[in-house]
Amino acid sequence: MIKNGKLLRIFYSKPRSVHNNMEREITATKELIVNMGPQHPATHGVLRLVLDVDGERIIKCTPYVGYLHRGIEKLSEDLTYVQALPLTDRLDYLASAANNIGFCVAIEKLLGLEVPPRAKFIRTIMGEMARICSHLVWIATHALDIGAMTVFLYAMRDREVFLDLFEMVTGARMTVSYPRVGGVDVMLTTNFLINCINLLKHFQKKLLSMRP
Amino acid sequence: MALILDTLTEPVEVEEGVKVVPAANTIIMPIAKLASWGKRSSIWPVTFGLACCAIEMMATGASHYDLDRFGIIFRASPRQSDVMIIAGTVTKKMAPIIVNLYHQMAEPRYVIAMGSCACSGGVFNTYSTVQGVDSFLPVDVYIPGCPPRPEALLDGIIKFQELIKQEPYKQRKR
Amino acid sequence: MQSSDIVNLLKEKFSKEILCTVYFRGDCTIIIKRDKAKEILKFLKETPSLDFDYLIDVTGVDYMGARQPRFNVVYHLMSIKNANRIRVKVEVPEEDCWVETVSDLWATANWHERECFDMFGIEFKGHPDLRRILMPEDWEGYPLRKDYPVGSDLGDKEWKTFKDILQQTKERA
Repeated sequence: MIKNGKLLRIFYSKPRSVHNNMEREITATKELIVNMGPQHPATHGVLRLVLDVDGERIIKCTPYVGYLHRGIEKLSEDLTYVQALPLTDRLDYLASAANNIGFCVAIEKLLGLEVPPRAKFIRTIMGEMARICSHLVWIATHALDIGAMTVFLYAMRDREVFLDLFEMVTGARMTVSYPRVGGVDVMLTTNFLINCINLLKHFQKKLLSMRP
Repeated sequence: MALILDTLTEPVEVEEGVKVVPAANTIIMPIAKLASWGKRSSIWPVTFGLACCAIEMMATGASHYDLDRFGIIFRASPRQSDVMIIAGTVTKKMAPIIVNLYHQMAEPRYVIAMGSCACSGGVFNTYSTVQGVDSFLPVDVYIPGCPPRPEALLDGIIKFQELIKQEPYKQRKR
Repeated sequence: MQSSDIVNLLKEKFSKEILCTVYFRGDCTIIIKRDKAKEILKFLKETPSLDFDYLIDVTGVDYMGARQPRFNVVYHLMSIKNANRIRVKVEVPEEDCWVETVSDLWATANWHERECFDMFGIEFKGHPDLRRILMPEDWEGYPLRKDYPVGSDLGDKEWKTFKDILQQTKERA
């Protein structure tokens, strides 16, 4: 509503037609139930949302989950700790090293194992790199949904550097299974360390390039 | 092959069935070949990423391993696409929806099963997982891997293009 | 506040319901009977000195054959202000499989209890909307029970919609 030239409040309103009541009824918005089904370009992964929508405003949202329930809990009942470790990779597949760390820490607590400090440092490095990968995918897909495709391409390009680093050490790009019970799988290579330090020098600039 | 000059007015056979008249800037080919060239050079998949393989599919579509150079544009709606790349684990709860989407695609339609879970259930031989999407859909290309590297996905797509090339030109009833 | 102090406080008030306490690797667990479970949880939440305002998880355990009673419902509680954690296990027999809901104390319990019901078949009395969450709504059987098969081929007990899809595929082939 614009009064005296200033925008006072934005009304989400039905059109005002003083003269014609019928016109007001016909053009008034009604509530609509929209099913944003499990397949939708914006639901990254499968999530079904049933939305009560009034015009473009969402009034109520009921999520339905379970479309990716794979039975990992039931499956890992029959497996040893080492066999169950790759299953934990696939829980949050964007940051797999972090899931492995959680699993290994729980087992080490139960067994009363103490992890050597070097392994703790390596796990932290891997965990943080995994977190950065996950956040890059978040920002890429978030921007893609809004329409900013460039950020998607920039973030995925930056992510490739991290995935190359993972592959250098563990052999896998995404689902690493690198932290093991009692430490890590293999020692980091010199190649990895050199490239990681290089990455640290340049990454902040790359992040800032994604800003408008 | 003989030297092809730009001023030749005779048709020159460059490939089996494809003739080129250089002076007239013309290519002569049977309709079947033309159609299959068009189909395989502009594959439009429907975005159907379910789990971890979807992230590798996104990485393949990004700038490092470009998919756009193959003519691949991801379409949101199954009505506008011709292939469904099933990337990720298919659960029994999700199966009816996949069947629905498959029927919404217009013919000729294809299915690529990407990743071990779509090919055969993968690691997850559990009560809720379908052991391979080919139990209820006709699959054309299987791409194994957990997740398959982007190069593997590209290899699968190239094989898919070869498949389209060799298909006879008749109504594909699927 | 030490875990032993918390447990002592609980034992003063609810001496008959607490069956045993376990201290293992720095974690404190109390196993209680079902009768006053909700009161104990409410006490843990609302006593100012304890203040367990964060319900981390509600899950279940199936001790088929190994222990009686068959099920335990496990509540993981945390106090953010005091940085305390405690685990409360409620014993639930198989024949009379219910526990009172805590979704009016902690709102997050709504979905956690739905998952527990879906996977174990433990009914949560007073829950506003108890239906399956992970499996399809008309699924039969409770997957995480120990007598439920782990494999994918469920034979006759397969979910009807999926069986229909397989049937239609065979007919079309």
